[in-house]
Amino acid sequence: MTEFIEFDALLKVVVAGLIVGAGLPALFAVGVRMLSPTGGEPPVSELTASGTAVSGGAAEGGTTLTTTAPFRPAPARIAVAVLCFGTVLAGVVVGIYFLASGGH
Amino acid sequence: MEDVTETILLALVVVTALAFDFTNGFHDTGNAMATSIATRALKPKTAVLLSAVLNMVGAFLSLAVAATIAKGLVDANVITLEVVFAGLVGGITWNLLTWLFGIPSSSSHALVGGVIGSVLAAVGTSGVIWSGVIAKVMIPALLAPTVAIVVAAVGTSLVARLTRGIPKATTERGFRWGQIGSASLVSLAHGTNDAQKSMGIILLALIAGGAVPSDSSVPFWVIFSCAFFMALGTYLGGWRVIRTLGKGLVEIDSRQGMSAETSSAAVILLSSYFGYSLSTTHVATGSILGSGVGMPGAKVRWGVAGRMMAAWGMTLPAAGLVGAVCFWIQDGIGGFLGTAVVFAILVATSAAIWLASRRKPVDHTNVNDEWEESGDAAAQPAELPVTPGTDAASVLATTAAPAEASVPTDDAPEPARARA
Repeated sequence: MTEFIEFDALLKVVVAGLIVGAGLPALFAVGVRMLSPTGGEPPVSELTASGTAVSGGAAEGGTTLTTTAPFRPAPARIAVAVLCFGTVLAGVVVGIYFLASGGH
Repeated sequence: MEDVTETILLALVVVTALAFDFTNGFHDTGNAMATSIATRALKPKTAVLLSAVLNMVGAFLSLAVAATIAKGLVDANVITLEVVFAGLVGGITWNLLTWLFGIPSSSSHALVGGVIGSVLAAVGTSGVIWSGVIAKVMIPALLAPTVAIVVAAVGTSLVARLTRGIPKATTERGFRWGQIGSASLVSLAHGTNDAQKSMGIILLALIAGGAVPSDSSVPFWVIFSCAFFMALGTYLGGWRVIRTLGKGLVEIDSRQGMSAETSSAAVILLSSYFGYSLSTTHVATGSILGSGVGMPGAKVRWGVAGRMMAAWGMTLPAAGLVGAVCFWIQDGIGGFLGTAVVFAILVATSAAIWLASRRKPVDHTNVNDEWEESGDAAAQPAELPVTPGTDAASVLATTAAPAEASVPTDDAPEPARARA
């Protein structure tokens, strides 16, 4: 079998695939969580509608607004979220660069 | 006279290669966009338009590899215009048949199968490099979905844990963006990789026909027409395949969709980075299955998956058989007339398959209807999902078969009726 399967390349694809292919969605999820009111901290009450807009999560639909308390994430949470989304975006940029450089 | 027939033969090969290119785009739209359509992150028409544009852009993005057809799989010396032509017919036929049954299957495998078949018919087994076929085509076909299932399952499961307790509307909205982004990358990669295959075939044909010198680079009209026909195929959308991928395998939400598409993009790009290219279709299908495996409580329809994998197993021999038969017909009649007859058969077959597809049309209006197993559909014909006020609805109303539109496979109604 070994002459038919390039185990070396396959192993690299699996490991790197797990890191990137599973890691980026996980980071994205962390980002969504950071901007979401149920991320572990009690909702901050002094808040306006803009807070829900920043969350990037709360839908415009009326039902959501009634179930989701107005919420503005703490600056630290926003920073973490930006870092997460930024990493995901960077991954996409690297992917496009890879395609454009003819590396396929 | 000889010159004229040579030119017409060359033109037929080019047209057939572009037709293959078209079916390639058509068949593979779902790889990138099925999940975004199923989760309604994008409207069906918007999704196919986005994918078409990105395929077109992708085709222009890089020309580093004008891939030689079936390199390392068949003896390069036996590749003639006739062999390529018969191989293309095999590939197109299999692409159209699998589309009719709504089965996502690899376009490149169909092409490779067709060419191997026509090489076998032309020069016998000595023309095929079997170790290459096993190592580069058959084994990767088993490994690609496996790797993708693992990656997507791990990704989905991580995402499910990390988003636990967050309102569904919040995650839906956030992840739709991620989903669209990652699906776009898959489309772009598809355009870059697959349009080049057709460019390579046409360039090869032009060189073989003496239309361009042997060291020619890909002429601009070839790049443009390949990009255009693939984008056109993508835009028309193989709705049957999209439906199977988006609704048939797994019921997905946008978190699963994003995990699946990111897994697809990562595995496709990384595998070519490490020099172990895997089929886009096999990876995309595996990723969608994996997103069902990794999501707690999600239902995976293994029966649909099994049927699909059976079709993958049949791709090489079936496309090969068509390729071989076409070569025999072509060779038997001989000369230009032989090629013209095979071309006419291809046109007639395609028309027949298209007509068959009209009996149970699947398009952007009903692509997202509830998936029903054949038994359900036959037992409760009255509850057929019908989108009000659409063409599909009127077609549904005027046709008789019980499993209309909800089951995009021909084999489904018979056993279903028997059970009912």
